[in-house]
Amino acid sequence: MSKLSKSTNAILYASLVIGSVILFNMIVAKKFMRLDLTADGVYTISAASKKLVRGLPDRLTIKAFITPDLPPRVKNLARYMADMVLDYAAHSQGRIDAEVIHVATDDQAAKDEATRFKIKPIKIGQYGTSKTSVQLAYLGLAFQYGGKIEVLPPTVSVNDLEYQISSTIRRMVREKKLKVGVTSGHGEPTPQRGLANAKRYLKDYEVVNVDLTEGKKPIPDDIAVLLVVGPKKRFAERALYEMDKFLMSGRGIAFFLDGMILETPRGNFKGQQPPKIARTNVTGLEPMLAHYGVKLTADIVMDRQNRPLPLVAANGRAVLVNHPAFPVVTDLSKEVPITKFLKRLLMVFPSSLELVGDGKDSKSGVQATVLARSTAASWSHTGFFLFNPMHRPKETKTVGPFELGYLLKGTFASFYSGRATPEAGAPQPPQAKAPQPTRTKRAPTSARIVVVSDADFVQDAYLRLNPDNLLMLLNSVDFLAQDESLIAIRSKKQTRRPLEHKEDADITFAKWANILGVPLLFLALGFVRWRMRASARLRSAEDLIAQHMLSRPAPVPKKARSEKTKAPPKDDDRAKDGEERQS
Amino acid sequence: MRNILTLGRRELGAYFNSPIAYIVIPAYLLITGYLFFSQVFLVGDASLRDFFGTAPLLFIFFLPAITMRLLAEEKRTKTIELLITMPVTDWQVVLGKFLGALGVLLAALALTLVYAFTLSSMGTLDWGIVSAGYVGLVLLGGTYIAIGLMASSWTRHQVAASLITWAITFTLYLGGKLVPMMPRALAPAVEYLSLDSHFVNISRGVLDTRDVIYYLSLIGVCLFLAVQSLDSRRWR
Repeated sequence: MSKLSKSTNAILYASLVIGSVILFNMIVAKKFMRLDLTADGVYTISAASKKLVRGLPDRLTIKAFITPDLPPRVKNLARYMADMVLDYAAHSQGRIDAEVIHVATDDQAAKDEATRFKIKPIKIGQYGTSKTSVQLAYLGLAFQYGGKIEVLPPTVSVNDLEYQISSTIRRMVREKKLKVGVTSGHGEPTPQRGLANAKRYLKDYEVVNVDLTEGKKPIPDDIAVLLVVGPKKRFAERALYEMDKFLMSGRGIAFFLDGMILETPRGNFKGQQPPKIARTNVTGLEPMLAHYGVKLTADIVMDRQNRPLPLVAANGRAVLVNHPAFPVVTDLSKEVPITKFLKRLLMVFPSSLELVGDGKDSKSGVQATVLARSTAASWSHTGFFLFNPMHRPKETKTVGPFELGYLLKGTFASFYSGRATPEAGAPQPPQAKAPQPTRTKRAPTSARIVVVSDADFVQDAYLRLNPDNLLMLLNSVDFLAQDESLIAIRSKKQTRRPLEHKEDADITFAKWANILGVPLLFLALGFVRWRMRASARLRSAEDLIAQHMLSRPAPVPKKARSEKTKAPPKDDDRAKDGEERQS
Repeated sequence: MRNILTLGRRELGAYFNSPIAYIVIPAYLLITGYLFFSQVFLVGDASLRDFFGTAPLLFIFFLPAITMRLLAEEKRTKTIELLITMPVTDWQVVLGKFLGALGVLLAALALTLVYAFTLSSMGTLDWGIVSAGYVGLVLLGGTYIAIGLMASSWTRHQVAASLITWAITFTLYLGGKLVPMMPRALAPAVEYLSLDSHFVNISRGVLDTRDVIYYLSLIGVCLFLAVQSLDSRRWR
């Protein structure tokens, strides 16, 4: 065969092999498998989602509208979107019809269908060689159930795609939204101001104001969960009675309370940043909470494990301040769904909580679980406290860890059992001696209370600074509404896994031990290996000489022998390498 | 198989008996360690995400130094003729050399496990993501080595082999980043060929057959072309 035909054959053969590999990759792209190695199975449909779709009362249609040539930064999302939709259908036992529709630029039929399902194209910026252009692309999910159509916006991330899909399905299947009430009338933030972010994320619920001023109005019967967030004034006795009655009906309350609050004193500070003074925050809820099993302390918990938080300076600009009054809480309960999947909370001037009794009162049937605890490097500050963000406060002798959150669960005894029903009216100062109940009235069914000793961390200013703060609020509401199906999915997303607090010296050591220590360790191993090889070579050279001397009786001059023995190992090495290669 | 392993072991031994491993591996560890640890304590997360993020770019500069001599040196010193006359096939020679170079990569990556253990002692590391990331690094590094071996089979000059490897890997790495600037018809193919985008998927903690088969295919094609290049001496 001529050289030319041989080379042509080789080129043809190579082309055939490469073509087959390309074809194989194209087939594999259609039929694929995934192995999710993440600890929480972030990219695998959870048992809760499977249960949800298997229990669908009617057929549901999901359509994914995706433009094929998306830029790389959104391509991953599109890929996971399409894969996950097909996974949902596969696990639904025929209750979900899923379809991935590729909307090409010139495919008018697909575009019309997208419009029918209320999916609008989005603008995606493209960086060209000479100019920046905007591409109109389709990247959305449409759900059809009964006569309803819902759309998942393309702003979702790969991380929370499953939660978004499952919560959309649950919302569509539910006939009516549950109501979450937020108390007002005592200086609390409202769903319109201060809790606007929380309201936005609690979209599976209808969030409403519950005005408890002077306890004039009862808490509506259709409220499923009551949130008491950051009251700064005393509750009227009648308002407490309403809350007690609410709890006795088996519904849940979440208290996010501050034992101390910081206030800016009035006065002219001549352009200086005004100081903040802490004062005890008395809301009148304290005796009722103590009756249920938890006592809120009038203190501020500080921790060496903290993170910088933005504070507004005198010139109106936000500055990042690292202060022990902003502790990072990593000791979170793994027993309760609320905190089970959370990694850390970022709190703002929290107070401490104390358990009244042993928390396992078999008589009352109430069980207490610690949700969050500060580190052993924390301390509490009581009494007068002047907050200056630029100064680190002195550590006190009252050291932690301190409890910062509790879950109480069981058949609570009523705070007003055996006592006269209070009348509505302005709050009165506490009586010197509270009347003792003559008989115990218990809730007919089990109820749930969440108490967290910080009201700021769920409010707009801080809620989104740390993803787990938001999850703590959403999980608490779901748990109190006794709807825990989505808690595991919501918290499944890859949240940050914080490093524990370490001293600067430890961090510097760890850093340089890794940067320099690891390469030096490798070089040291190399040196040991080189020395061992050199001595082995020396030994074998000596053996050779010894053999040579035995086979040749004539004496070898001393000088020559020593020269041979001391021959540079480099040459020997080369020679041996050459031998090895030839062999 | 025994021939391949023997060749691979010999090749690996050659790396560690020469200064190559002791220059390339510590230099890689020094740079990757500095880049990672100058950030990780500032961010404060127990995650190797930044380490995995810089690996595709760092490999482009370090792995050609390991692969450049594989076949080019044999060709220059004419020892390739000697090797080929031995009772081993071209495939065995290429696979043996590939395994030898892969061994060096594995040694370097094994040393970076110290980073994972350090972070694990200071926080809760997601070992699933770490395992997937390392599988991704081996696949990615294996692909770079296969490309280097292919380039090394094309020339007898080590520097030329290194430059060719660098050019190919850099193009494949950069390709994915430049997709938005490509003509529409070309973009999907370029994006699929991008080394980085497949690695990003794996380093999230998900082993997807599409990504794994992509890397294995690329390794297979490059080794096949290296064998073809060796075989070409018969008809050139």
